[in-house]
Amino acid sequence: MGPLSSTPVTPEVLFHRHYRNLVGALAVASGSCELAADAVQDAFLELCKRWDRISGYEKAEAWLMRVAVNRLRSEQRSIRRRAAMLLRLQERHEQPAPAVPSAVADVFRSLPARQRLACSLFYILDLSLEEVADAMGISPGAVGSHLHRARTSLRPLLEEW
Amino acid sequence: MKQDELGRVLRQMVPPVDETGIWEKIESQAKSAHREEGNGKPKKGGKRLALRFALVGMAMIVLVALGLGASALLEHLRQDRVVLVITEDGVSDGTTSDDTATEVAGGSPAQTHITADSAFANRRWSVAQITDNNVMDEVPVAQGNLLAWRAHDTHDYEIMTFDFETGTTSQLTDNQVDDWEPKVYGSHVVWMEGERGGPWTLRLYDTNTGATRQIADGTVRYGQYQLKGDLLVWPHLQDGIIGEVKVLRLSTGEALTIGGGDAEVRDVFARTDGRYVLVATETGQESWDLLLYDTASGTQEKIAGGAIVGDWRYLDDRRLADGVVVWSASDGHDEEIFLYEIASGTTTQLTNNEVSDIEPEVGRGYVLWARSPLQSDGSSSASREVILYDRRSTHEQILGQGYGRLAEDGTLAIWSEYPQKAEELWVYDTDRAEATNLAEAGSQASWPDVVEGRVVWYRELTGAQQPSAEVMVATFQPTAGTTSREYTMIDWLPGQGTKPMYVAGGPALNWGEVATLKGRAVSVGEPIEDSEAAIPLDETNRWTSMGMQPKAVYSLVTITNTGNTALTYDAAEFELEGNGSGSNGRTYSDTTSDGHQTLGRGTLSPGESVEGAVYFILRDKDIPVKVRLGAAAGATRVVFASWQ
Repeated sequence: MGPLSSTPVTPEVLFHRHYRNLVGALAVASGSCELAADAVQDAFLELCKRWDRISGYEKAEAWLMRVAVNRLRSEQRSIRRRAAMLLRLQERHEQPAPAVPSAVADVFRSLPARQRLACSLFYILDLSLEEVADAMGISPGAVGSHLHRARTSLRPLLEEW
Repeated sequence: MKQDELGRVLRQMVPPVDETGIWEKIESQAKSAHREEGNGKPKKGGKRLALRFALVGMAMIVLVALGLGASALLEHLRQDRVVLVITEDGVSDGTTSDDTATEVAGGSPAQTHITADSAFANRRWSVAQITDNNVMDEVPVAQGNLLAWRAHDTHDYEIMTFDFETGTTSQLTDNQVDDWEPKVYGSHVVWMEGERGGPWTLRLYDTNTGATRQIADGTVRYGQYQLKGDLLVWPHLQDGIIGEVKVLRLSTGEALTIGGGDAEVRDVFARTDGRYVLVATETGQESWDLLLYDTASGTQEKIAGGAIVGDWRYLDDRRLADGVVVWSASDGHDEEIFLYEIASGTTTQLTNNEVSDIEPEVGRGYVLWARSPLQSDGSSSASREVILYDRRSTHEQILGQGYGRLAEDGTLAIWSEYPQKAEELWVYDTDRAEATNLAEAGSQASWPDVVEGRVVWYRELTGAQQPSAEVMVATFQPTAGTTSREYTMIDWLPGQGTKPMYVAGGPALNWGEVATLKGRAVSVGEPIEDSEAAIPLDETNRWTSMGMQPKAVYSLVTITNTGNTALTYDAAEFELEGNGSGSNGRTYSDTTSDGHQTLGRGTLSPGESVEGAVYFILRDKDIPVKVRLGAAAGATRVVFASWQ
């Protein structure tokens, strides 16, 4: 997702502009493209339902991202209470792009969910600390903390690679 | 695009995403939802509007019965929906237009049965802009007389403070690296210093000595440190070791280390109340242990473990306060709120429902958390309700939507729809059950915090050409409770009418404590149910005609005349509020059924005291919540007893 725009747009324009990137980033964060797609589609559905209100905001994209992130985190929390789905997800677990060594991907997946999410939003969607903070409902400082922790964990592997 | 190594790797991990047919599916579902709304149940707004008209109709009937006209009703309605508007000159009474009134009614107060009372709001909140310098002054925090924030000097962030007592602004740092996230307590300010991205060094400033010292070098986690009482705590970051928590006793310099060396620990957070240290350690994916360390005895106990929600928000440092620890954990279906009382060692589950309750904070007598309804597939929705739970009455209420925080002394709670750039910032006075919007139209409130008697935030003006953020402080005027401070005289007389009127508007009193007011000291004992009380038949009939059974309770009240002139008192100047009903004090008989003398109307000479029972009526299943002091006036509108 690019820099937040202040130009009023339609939900369809927003969809074509951001859907792929947002699903991609959340898929990396969650380890599941399907989970990410569900969360982002839910967010767009909510966006359509509330467009009358949200279109007046300068921050429709920020709203969209926040809702998608919340949906993803809710889904992840609910996985524990839906064991059957967990099994399905594990079976369908998408593999990362082959260019990345599996060790790096494995370590990244083992990071706490908050760190993965912060990294995905910051690096893949290229958001600022403040925009990531807004999406995650935490402070920019906390985002910085998550990024630092993730980098610390991954640094040895990245240097080797 | 960020070019470092991790960014490059992550972008390569992005899987291919197919969006074919997705938009059409979403559009179709959205249209279907709109159709259902149109054909099915009335829209929310319409429902509220209908309810509003119904309430207006009922109010008209009541007021006409009282001999008042439509203009009085409209005035009353306007007063109920007043929004505070902050101008350059300070706070003004921003009585709203009809449109704005609807917006407010549909927003927080009316939905949650909170009244926003203009007559008091203007007197009890003063809002000040602390900075005015066209730079980014951000994330203010306050405690006692000290306010601290980070300010961007066009190169990096520096730490600033403001002393509420002297009005002095000070710059604590002046260097070429970032100084961020200050926290204050007493005479100390702590913050982190370093290049953006870390590592971070912790620095501590003492306003008494003017000295700054380095506490930890490069081993601090961004923002995760807490200063309270004599203790400074932080999770210690060091390669190869995760799970250590460092504790520094400021007065002696004594350093403690809690935990560490456990290979299974994946993450750790720490909170303190000045004596205890709460350590949360992640021992597996979504699995946490909560350990409570007592710095006085050096002992440690595990108070909970398992599926505890691990979102330890940076600013969320009120998990441990008032001798209580709160957390959110899964019950196998959704998340519930739990509370541990340190003194008794007992754990209580505060919620047991089918929705997700998360991110609790505790203040004296209250717990606040976020609640997200579950979707049909079992996941929680994006909407968040802010819940305030009264530990004494076990009553919970919805304050509004969004993100909430609770002052440690339990007197104030705040919430906004977003933590950052929110159009409205609401503050709720738990003593008076009143909500006020502190945000100025045309500005956005970010990262608000609430402490005893104050709300702090920073605002950015919408549409401003130059980015600028300024620190704002709203200060609560002398208020409720049972402190020794004097209350200023109320200049709000009961309204016009032909019957005696009793107006509650004074401070709420805690059971058994002594409130020192101007010219008098008052204490109110905890209400006791009196099932044998002689409630007059006509009063019983009035309640039963409304489908309710009355219940008589009484409080033992003591009033002392501390002034120099005679003091008139009356049972009716006390008002008891329950969960869903309330009443002014009454005198049914000379004594209660268990023999206490009752209190009616009388006069006290200077220095004289009176003790007696005051009866109140509640709905039969109601629980007493608080007693307020009000005013009692006769038919001639002469106030013969009021709090001052």
